[in-house]
Amino acid sequence: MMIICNGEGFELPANATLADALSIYLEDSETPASRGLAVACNGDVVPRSLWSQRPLTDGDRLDLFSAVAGG
Amino acid sequence: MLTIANTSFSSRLLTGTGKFSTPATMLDALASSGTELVTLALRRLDRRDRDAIFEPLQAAGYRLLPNTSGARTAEEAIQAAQLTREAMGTPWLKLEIHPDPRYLLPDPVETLKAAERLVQLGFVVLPYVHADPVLCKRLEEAGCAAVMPLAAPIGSNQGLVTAPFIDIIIEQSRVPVIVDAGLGAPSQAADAMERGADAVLVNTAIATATHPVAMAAAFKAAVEAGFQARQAGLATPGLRAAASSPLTAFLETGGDSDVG
Repeated sequence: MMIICNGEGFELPANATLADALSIYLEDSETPASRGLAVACNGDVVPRSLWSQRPLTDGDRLDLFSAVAGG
Repeated sequence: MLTIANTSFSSRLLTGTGKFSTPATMLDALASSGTELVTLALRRLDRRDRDAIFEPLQAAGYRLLPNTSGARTAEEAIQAAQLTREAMGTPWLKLEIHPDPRYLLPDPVETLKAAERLVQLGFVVLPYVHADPVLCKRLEEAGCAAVMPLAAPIGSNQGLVTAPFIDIIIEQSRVPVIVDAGLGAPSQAADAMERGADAVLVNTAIATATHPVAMAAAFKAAVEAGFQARQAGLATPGLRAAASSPLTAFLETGGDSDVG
């Protein structure tokens, strides 16, 4: 299936969860927690505890945010 | 001790994490400042950005105060707050809504509206506001944990240009008053503390100093000195001289000298 992640389309295996999408999208060994990551799916914030249970469907739009330096 | 929302802090210097040349310099400067509460921002994830700062800050034991910078309306700030709570695992929030990029002045109407809602949603809200005593009271009544009136526009290094209004806010407030934004020199931070501020927040003046780690130490000393001076009770300014030495002339014969 195809989903949209921060505006970029990317391909995921069928039955992928939100947690799967993040590990594929981030392409590295860092855990999302280490970046201070928050995710909204189709505009709604998804709590971290539900990432591994949240199924995705074709066309879902993910918005990913992370902690950055600021005043 | 500074107490905000039942949490005690030994340090009265809050610091921002922005504008440092490297994350390592930022961490060294924070350590040197003695700060216990540091601000962060939230942005759309950049996968190429490898300067992750969240984990090192958390590992160093700082309490995090995420901000809502970038929000231009109450609605955007509430959305940002929900994301920061999820991202950084804290309900603490520096609420800032500044629609105008030139002066970055906070929008009082949107800020009050957002604060009322965010308190209901369980956030610990510390609003960044103009030094407006009436607004600060309204925010206190709305349940904010502290108020953060500005000294001068963000990053301007102008110092305590709002001093007379900061004095009124300090006199009236029942929640901690944290003077935020525009403090450019340790002497200005000391001034805010001598006036009775509970804490100050400094970012640009430390981060953009030639030697940020040394400047952080200077701000630490200034905040402590200003707080101690306030506690000690400052002497009252007066127009006329008041001699500090006995007015007995011993170099001349007869009569009192005018020399003090």
